[in-house]
Amino acid sequence: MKEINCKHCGGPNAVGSRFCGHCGASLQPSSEQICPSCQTVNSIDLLYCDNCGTRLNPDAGEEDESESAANAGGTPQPFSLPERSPGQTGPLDIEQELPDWLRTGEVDDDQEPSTSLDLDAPEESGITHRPQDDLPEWLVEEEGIGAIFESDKSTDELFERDSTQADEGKDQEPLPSWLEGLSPEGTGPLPTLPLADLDEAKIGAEETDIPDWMAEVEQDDDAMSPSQDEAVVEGVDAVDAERPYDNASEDEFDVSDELVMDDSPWTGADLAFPDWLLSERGESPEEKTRTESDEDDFPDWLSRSDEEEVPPDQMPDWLRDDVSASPAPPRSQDPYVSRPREVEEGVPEWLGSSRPPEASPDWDADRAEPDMADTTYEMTGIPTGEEQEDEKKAEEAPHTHSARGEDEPSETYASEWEASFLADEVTAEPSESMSGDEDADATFLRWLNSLEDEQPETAETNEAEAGEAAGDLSLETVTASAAESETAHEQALPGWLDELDEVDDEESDTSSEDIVAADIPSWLRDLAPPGTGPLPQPNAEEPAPATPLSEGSDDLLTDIDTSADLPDWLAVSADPQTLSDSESTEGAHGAGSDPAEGEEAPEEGIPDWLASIVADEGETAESTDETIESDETLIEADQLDSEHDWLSPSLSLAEERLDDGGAEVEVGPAADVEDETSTGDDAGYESLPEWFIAAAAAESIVTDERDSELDDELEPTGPDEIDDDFSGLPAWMRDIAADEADSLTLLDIGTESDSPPEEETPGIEHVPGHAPEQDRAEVTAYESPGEPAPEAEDELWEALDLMEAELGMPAAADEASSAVEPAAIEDMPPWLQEVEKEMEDEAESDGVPANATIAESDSEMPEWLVAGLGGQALVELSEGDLLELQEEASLEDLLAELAPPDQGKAADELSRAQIPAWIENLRPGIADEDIDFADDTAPESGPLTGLPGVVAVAPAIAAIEAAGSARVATERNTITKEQQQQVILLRQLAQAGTVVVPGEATRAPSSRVSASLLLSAVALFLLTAIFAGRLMPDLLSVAPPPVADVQVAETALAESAEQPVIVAFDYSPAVADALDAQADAFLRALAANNSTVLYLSQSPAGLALAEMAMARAEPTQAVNLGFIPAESIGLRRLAACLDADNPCLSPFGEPLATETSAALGDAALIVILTGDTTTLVDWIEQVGAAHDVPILAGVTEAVAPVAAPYAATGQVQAVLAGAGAAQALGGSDSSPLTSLALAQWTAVALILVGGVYFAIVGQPRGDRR
Amino acid sequence: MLSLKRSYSVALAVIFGLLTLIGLVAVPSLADIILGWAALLATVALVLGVLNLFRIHGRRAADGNFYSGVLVLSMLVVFGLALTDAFNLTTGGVTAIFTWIQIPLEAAMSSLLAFFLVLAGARLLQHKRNGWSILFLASALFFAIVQAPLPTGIQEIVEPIRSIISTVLVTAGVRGLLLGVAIGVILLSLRVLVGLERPYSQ
Repeated sequence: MKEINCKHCGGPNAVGSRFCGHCGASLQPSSEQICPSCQTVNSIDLLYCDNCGTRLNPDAGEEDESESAANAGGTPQPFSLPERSPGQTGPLDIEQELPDWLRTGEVDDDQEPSTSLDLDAPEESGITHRPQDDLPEWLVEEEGIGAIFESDKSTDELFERDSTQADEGKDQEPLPSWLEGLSPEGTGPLPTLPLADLDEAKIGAEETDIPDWMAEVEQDDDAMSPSQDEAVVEGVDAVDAERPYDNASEDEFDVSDELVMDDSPWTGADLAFPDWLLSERGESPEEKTRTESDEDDFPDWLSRSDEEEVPPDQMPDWLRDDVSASPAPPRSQDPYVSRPREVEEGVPEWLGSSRPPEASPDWDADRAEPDMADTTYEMTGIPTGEEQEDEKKAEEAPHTHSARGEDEPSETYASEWEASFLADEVTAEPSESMSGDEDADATFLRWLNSLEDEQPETAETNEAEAGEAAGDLSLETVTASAAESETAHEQALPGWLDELDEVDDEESDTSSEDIVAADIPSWLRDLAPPGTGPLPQPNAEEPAPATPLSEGSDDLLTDIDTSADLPDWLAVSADPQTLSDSESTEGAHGAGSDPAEGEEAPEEGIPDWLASIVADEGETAESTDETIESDETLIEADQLDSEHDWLSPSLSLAEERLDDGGAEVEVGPAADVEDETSTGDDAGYESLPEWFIAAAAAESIVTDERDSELDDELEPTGPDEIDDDFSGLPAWMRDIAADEADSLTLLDIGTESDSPPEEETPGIEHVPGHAPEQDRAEVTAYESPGEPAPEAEDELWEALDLMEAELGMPAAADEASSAVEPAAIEDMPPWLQEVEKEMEDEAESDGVPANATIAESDSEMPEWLVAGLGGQALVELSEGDLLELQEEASLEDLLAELAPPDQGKAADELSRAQIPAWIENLRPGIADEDIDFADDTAPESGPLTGLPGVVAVAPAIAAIEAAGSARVATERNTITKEQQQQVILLRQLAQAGTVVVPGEATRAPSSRVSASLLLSAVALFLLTAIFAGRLMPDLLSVAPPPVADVQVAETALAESAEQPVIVAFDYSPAVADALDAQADAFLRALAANNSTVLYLSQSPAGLALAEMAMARAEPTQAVNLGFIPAESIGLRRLAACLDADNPCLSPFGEPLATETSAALGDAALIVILTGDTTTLVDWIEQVGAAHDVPILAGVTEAVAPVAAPYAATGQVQAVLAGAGAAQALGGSDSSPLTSLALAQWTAVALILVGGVYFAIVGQPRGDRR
Repeated sequence: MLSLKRSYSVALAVIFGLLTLIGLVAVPSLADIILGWAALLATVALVLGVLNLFRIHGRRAADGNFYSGVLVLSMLVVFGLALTDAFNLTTGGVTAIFTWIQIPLEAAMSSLLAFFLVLAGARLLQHKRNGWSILFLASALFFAIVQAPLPTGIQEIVEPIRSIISTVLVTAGVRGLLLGVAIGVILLSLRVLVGLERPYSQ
């Protein structure tokens, strides 16, 4: 179980505890820490108090070390990386990984046992802990490391510096993506601190991680001189000298190596230098008057004139700090004062970052004061006399940079760091291992000083100051004032050089200069004019001893000037001045300086002032072994300066390099020829990488040859050289170089006329002792394809304009923008320019018109689009047409206009294809042609009126039916019998579940039985009563109720005797039992009276009943009038027949028989036998009212009450009701009456019994509603 | 269209109603003609009714309805016997059917009515046990007993009560009903004559 220790009491606590279990202190990591000394709150990441400098967490090291000791199994280890428990607060890991002595910088043997490891005393353990024990072996073995321990500077400061630098490296902006893309894997990122690697002792790192140059130092430590100072110098030089760069793996390649490695076989290493450095190396006085365009390139705060005070808020932070720190900054009316700032703007980030930023780290707060502005000023801008005076004034003032308490040097050099360089040169004793580069450094410094002597504006002061500078630069002066110049030296150095210088300070006062000198990047040393030569020249006035080039030729040949690997575009882009200059001088350059060409960027990377300066340098370097040719070249450069200023430096440099080999250097015929034939534009290739130049040279050799022949030419002329050139490059750049070299072949399109003949190249004579590749570079630098012919230039511009038009860039034809576009193109990296040029050249080399590229690009258009264009060749479209098209219509419009001709078909296919197969299977089995879906006629009615394209439904349905799909559908919808039964069952179940029969469920079984019994009993009783009255003898002697109308009826019957009597049998068989008795009584009475019976009926059954009654009564004469329809209407018509005068028709319209009609007219009595009230009423109202014929109504007991009123009014003579009336009328048989009486009594009895029963028992449960 | 049809029907009803009224009052012959047309129409309607009844029950008989089949069969038999009686092929065939089938059936139905009336009267107090039910039941029993043939001794006792009840109460009630019906018939006839009542449109 892991534990964490309380910071307050040190007690162990479980991981995750919030408070200490021993003291209650919070265990949560805090973002702040309080200084134990001054109680100042500091950030947690600080190691020392920001206020008092007290170590903030002195216990961390002890804990970690004790922990690591425990992990080591008790084996005491001199140095081990401590582990850090999770959640443990305190210093950063990297700080814990360092030994305490390294953190504190205090090497105190007395404190060592107590502060480092909790081990036994060294004496007891028998282990002597040395400070070196904490260092890696490779670092321990470094003898020079002893200077670290012996240095006055604390290692803590050293460490802080390194850590700060590392942080700065992290904070630096990443490389541009395109630049990162260029960097192949394995090469690693470009270093941000080229020289800081000297100090970055990556403790604990494996040796493989050591920079190559340091590895070389380790390997070659034996070659070091006994002196530490010399050892360092020699070690570094040994790296430069002995390290075969060609053998270095690609993984080992590092740009730091580029900066450290200075000796390049390409003495024209500055070709690849950042142009701003080249430009800042010197500038002609003529160029001091800067153009407005130059000013425009400056930042706002920088572009202001010197007269105008720049507000501090507009300055960069680092400069503002510097200004604030420097009350009297050296200012000058010279516009060059702003140049360092300008340069600062153009400094690549990675290079600029080598300088400590505005926020100087604590470890070097005092040293960081000389900011980049001053540094670059000192480094690049050679101060004039006025500037020097200003500097003197500034130095006289209290300078905040003197943090060390050292007095500022009163005297001022052209550049104090130059003085240190010189001091380095002087103090460093020449040794065998010392290469000529050291001499070159000194020479360079002298050259720099000499340049200021050449400043015409300060001619007078220069003389004095030159002598002073010469004196200052002398060995004695430098040696004597080394300490004094240290501060100024630091101020003048750029940040990364300052770091380097700091290392020197730590080692020794005397060795610091050597180290600085040794660590001067080779490319910086190469900045020295060639005229100065590689040999050291302690004094600019003194001619440098000619050092044969052969002495250092081996090193030079083997060493690869990796600075040449710096991309040219970086150099070009780094200096906006060059761009502005190039723009401004574009017109002056004429055809040969056309910026559209890819080689323009490197050409213009060399400003005019550089050429002039070099020319001046050539003039001032009379003491050197310059040849007449070089002078002439310089003269020519001066002459060309007015037109092609940038040519001068290249020419002079080339000449100087040729002269570097000594006096015996001779310019070969080729050089002469070059001077004569080649234009100054050719020199623009100085800025190109060597591989570029080599490739260009190869191309120049094979001017008229094809690309395939180029390879053939390269090999015989110098295959090794070419290979070496490329091999000196990193792999990824080698590839690019090869590509660009191939692309260079295209450049000859417009330069064939100007390119030197092929046979001229072999004529170049290599200078003895001069590396073939060096010669090659020089030669190719001159022979590289120059400016294209104006015609070719125009073609290229046209192609470029077309490309721009194609890419949607502003119209190339625009003159206003055309002047800007070259500059914009120049802003592009050279390789990109080359790519663009390659495109153009390929187009032209293939013989295709420039606008053919558009056609090629259009080849990627969809076919339909191409077809939509009507198949016209796009090549026929001129640039103007394209621009017009681009202006008039957008791409969408064009596409809309160029719709695919076969779009409908495609859409149809698409729609069909999108229909799933299973949907297709559902389609009715009919052919599509059977349905006329293409009926475009809009419907004239319905909701879809007027809508075209409506599918006619009727034809579709008809087609489906015709195809039998209807039958299929019917079959599909047919319900089988089984299904029907299932439906019925389900329905019954559903209804059974929902229908509730009220009371049924609650009815008791007894009630059901009683109800059934009751019904049965009622029926039984009634039937018994009926049959008992019929069957049983008249035991009851019942008498019918007295009927008052019987006498009226007998009277009417008597009065109608011998007359026809109408008897209507309008009763049903239901009441026949009651009425039949009456009918029989009436018929017997009528028969007795000998009356004719005319019988009829309004009911079909009545006639039958009448027949039966007739049969029973056997009247004398009976006439069947038949059925009388239409009830009242029929009765009304019958009533009409009663009139003897009117003919009477039968109900069917037939006239009645005469007898019948007469009988009707003679009818004296109407007997109505009915059980229906309406029928009685109809007879009374329709027949009885029409005639005065008396009406006898034989009715049932139910109708009797209704007939009673008619009887009361006289409309009915008598109403006989029921069986009793019949009995009273003269019935003979009393059996029916008895039966009726028994049944009727039974019914009354049942009702009474039931009523009483249910009245007593009550209603049963469930029947209550 | 519907309003027009209604208008025609109303017009016809009004016209023929007025003509009939006028004919009954002033021109009996005119009334007889119109009443003859009405009787003819009623006869045709009866025939149409018989045919419609035969079609419907014939369909149901085809669907398996037994009673409809019996009905249809009875119709055909009676119609056939009528034809045979008309053509003297048979004698008294229709009368026999009526005597032996229809009259007993209708008498049975009436007897069932009496049976159900007795049962309902017996269970009246089982569901409605209030004064009106008892009064209703008592009235029914009273009139059933009074109207029933009673022995001579009893008849003489009950006869004055029955005579009063039938001549006063029953006649008053029936007369009121008849007056009401008569008023209603007059009103209905006026409504029909003015077109407010359209029983023919239903």
